[in-house]
Amino acid sequence: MQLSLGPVLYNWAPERWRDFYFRIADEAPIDTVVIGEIVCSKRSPFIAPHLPAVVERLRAAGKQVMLGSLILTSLPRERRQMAELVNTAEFLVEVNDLTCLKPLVGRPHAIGPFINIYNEASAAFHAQRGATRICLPPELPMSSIAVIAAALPSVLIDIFAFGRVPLAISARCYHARLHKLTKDNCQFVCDRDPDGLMLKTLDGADFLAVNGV
Amino acid sequence: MELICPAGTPAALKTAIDAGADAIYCGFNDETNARNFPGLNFSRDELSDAIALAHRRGVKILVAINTFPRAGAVSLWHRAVDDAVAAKADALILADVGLLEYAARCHPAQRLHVSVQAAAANADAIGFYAETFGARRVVLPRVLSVAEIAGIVREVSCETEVFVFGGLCVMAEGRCSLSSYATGQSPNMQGVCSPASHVAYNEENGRTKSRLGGFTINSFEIGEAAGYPTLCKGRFTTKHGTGYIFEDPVSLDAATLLAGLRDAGVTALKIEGRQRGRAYVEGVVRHFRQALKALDSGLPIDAGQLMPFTEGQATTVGAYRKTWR
Repeated sequence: MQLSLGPVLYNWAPERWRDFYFRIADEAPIDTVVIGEIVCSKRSPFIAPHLPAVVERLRAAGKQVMLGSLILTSLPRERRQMAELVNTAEFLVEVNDLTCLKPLVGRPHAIGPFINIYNEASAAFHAQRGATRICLPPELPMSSIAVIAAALPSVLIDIFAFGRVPLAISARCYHARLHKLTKDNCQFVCDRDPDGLMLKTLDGADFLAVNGV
Repeated sequence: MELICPAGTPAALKTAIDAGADAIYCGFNDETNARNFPGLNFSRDELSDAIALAHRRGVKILVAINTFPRAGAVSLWHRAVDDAVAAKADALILADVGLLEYAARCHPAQRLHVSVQAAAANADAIGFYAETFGARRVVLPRVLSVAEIAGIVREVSCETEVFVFGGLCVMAEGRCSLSSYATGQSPNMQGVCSPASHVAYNEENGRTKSRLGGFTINSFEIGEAAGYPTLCKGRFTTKHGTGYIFEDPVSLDAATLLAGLRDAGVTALKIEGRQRGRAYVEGVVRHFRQALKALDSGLPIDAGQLMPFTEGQATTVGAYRKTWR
């Protein structure tokens, strides 16, 4: 079995983001690394200047690099970003929303964990259109993983093995809402919680981590 | 604009017809639909009878088969599609690409709608469903403003349907595992969110605490109405304080936006609530039928009449007005 590293989901300072991947390239026994901003399109410009160096360093270390697409795409600007992403032919794109799929049909691509693959039929649907890897949704039980993997022996099946589980995406930004800001004028307050904003129940039990949208 | 109304039982379906529905959506009484609650939904015979009755009254029936089929048990969902087609459903509401492909291949004449659970939130994603499966209508996720909906209608070849009233997902539908995390049961898999089987109310230190899967979701004064602990409408604590972090206990009411939705080119207006009783169906459907008549006559629309049918006696227009942005 291979090891994959999912993308950084939080709003890190760009240099910290770059240095994290430099360390992954230099030190981590990882086969595949998914990079890119998949949570909030407003954060993308911050990491963009560092992407080429990160990609080069990871590749030089023998890692396969995949680019993750946005989970929720609704604005024209976001659709343009996604169109640019899929035209980057030298990378395998990990598709997190069907928005990107049409231009990728017939080309090798990866299906990310935010595409709903719950059964062998939907996995086969994507495999027939060029998906060579599928990362299954984290809520899928082991029994379903076994059925899907057995039905598609030629597709590389990724599953979540460690770390926080991404549970939901919204059109609303909860960091902005908590700080009484609008999403369009959010001042990027999510950068104050680089490991997410801890959310506890009224009994004080740890429950969720809030990360922007 | 068509008025699409919910029915969780044959009795609610008759009520919706009498109250002025153009079409009614319903599901089979199993895990194939996203309102899989005990005592709710239709047997095969009940659905056939319901469709015959509705067609006599000039009303369409849309059958929701909108959970994601369980691996190794896909045939259960295939059978639901076959049976709904055989019962002469006017359209099937589907979310899973494998199931859409099956329905398009085996029943090419059947009208297919893309469920809100498919989370098709822009013209590219909608176009993919329309071109790949011949889907004739998409139910839009509740993440879009009216202006964005207008832009989508201009760009796509299929019809659009939008929610105008009822329970409001603040997370993108079909992409939320919060219920799964707290209870092990999810909308996508079992067709349930924050299921009653995992809910408990306990009195502790002079307060009523509502819990879901063991997690405290809210706390109320004794005697205060204790709301249902839907996870995303709970009160939680962060370093900034305690409150409704994701959404207050409110319902969607877009009655005041009907003119904008009509001008945006929306085909159909949908009322949420297959799990709700006949009084809800009667009151909400009749109100929206009157609102549509007022709209057609250029008369003002009565707002705020539906408070008794809302969660927490409060409403929101959700993402439709750009306040989320």
